Amino acid sequence: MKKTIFYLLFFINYFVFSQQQLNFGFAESPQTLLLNPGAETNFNYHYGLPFLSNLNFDAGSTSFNLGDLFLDDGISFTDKLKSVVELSDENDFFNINVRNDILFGGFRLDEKSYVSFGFYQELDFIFYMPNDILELGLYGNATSFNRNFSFSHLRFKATTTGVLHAGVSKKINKRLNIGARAKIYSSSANVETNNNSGTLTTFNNPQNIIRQTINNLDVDVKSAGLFNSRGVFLDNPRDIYSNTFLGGNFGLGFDVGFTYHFTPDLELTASAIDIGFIRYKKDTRNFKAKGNFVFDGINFEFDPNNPRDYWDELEDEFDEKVPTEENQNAYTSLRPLRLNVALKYGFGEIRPKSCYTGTRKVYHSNSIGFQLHSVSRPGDSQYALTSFFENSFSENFHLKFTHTFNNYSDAIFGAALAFQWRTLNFVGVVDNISQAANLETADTFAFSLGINFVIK
Amino acid sequence: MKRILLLTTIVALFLNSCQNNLTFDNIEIKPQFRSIIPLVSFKIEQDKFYDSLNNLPIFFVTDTTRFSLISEPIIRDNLDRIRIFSEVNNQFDRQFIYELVCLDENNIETAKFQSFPVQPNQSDYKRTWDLFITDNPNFLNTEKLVLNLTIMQPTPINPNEEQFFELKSYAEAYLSF
Repeated sequence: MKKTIFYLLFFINYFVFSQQQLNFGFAESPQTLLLNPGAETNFNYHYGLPFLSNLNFDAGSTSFNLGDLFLDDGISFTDKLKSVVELSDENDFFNINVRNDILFGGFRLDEKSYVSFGFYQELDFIFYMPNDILELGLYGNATSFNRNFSFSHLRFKATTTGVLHAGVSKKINKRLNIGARAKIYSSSANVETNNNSGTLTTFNNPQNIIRQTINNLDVDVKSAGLFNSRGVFLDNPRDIYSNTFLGGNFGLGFDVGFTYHFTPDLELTASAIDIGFIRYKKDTRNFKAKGNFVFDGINFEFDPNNPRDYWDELEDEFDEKVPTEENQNAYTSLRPLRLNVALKYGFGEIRPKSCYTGTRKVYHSNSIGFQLHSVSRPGDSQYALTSFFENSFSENFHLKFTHTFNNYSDAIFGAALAFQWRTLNFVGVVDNISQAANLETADTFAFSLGINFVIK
Repeated sequence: MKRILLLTTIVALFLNSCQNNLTFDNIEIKPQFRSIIPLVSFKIEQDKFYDSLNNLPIFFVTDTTRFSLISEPIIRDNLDRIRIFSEVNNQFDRQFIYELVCLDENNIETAKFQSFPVQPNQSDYKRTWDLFITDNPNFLNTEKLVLNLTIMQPTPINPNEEQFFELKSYAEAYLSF
């Protein structure tokens, strides 16, 4: 059962690729506050439907799709994996981000300030294809003379976090709205490695036909929360997820953002999300290996007066030259910083709408714009550039159509819908619509929804 | 966990119609690969064939080492076949035979790889052995290696004449997971 759930989660996580940035600046919904604490709000109170106020799933791969690995075509998984590895290089990656609000609410502090707060859980995972290591494991080294199998390809990071947050969005003047959000992170599990180096090489050598060398090895894998205090590996997701609320590995962070109107028609919004860190010191377990080694096999001396155990000597020499270490040292991990910028131009019919102050303001029926999203990763940062067209059928019904190109694809078409019925506010996003009916061939896919109750 | 299951259910409902062509059964990585490692080597010179203390010629030399690589679980559980390559450069004007003997922890032989006679002054002797685990399962119990070198003609070697016998070897392991 556990295995089934794991595969199901992996499956879902993989191809439900939520473009969180599509919600960015959309329809003045409460969710936009989590993407931009400086977003403008037009309500006095809101509270989210618990667990459904903001669901975000995010996954994608730059080198393969689900069908490449899981298509029911009679080909073994191992052969499929070989094909994927063949098509990949060390810069390819797949990543998963799952986020769900447990609690989300807000209230107007005064005419200019809106306070929001809540708690959400997040699973964030990125794995770069360690092609050399995978090929070594799939094929061995017999056919790869003189090839340097690089350990630098080993890069991944996975974190489960609970985030307690509170923020304020404040109107400075008619043009500018700013905001900030403080966050307390509580991570239940983390494993990460980056900036590794070293090579394993097999080559011809006069000493003994072939020689194997480990050069400049420097591998460092850090983890927390994966083993309990007795050193037992926690393979049950419940053990990890149940610990995200004040679980013991704490961190601090903040978000900042603003909305600026150059003119009534032209709006610039920007935010920086998760400027922060987590300090891991509970249930940490780290592994390090460093050194150089040359292996020519066992060299017999045939000296009966000085018998030697060559194998023991080799093991000792290896331990001396490539020392490995397991420790429980505390470490600090930076949060993946997300940046959002959007420029929006409104046009078309000008309509009035009611404000939280009881007054009226106007809005355009249509708008177009661009938005840029980036997230820092152990490798290079990932970017997504989205162009969009928004149409407001009425004050309470909004549609958004997007075209995005990012690390996964240059033709991702998406749509977002937001409507308000009485106090019910709904936002839904589907991205990569063109591949929605054939997800096994999709590089990415997006899905998110949020259900909140807003009171003007 | 309930929350995750809730998310799972919601999204699974959405995706239900989109995953018919996929299967998540048999997700096992079972590579079959070949790995090579340097095995044993030596270069033995004329003085090793003469006991200067007792003034006696030596016609047989041997050396032993512990060798626990085969008993490593990843090897023991997955090894199908091993192939050993050896090369010899014999500068002596004698015929030699060499053998690599594998022993378990009780010094019981688990495998033996023996050469044909290496002819006097033969500098390019090569010998390859194949061992299949299905035919020789005891090989997996190997814990020691013994290398024996025997001079076939019982005529003493001149300890003052510079000569050598050199052996190099490597092993190729075929593993299936």
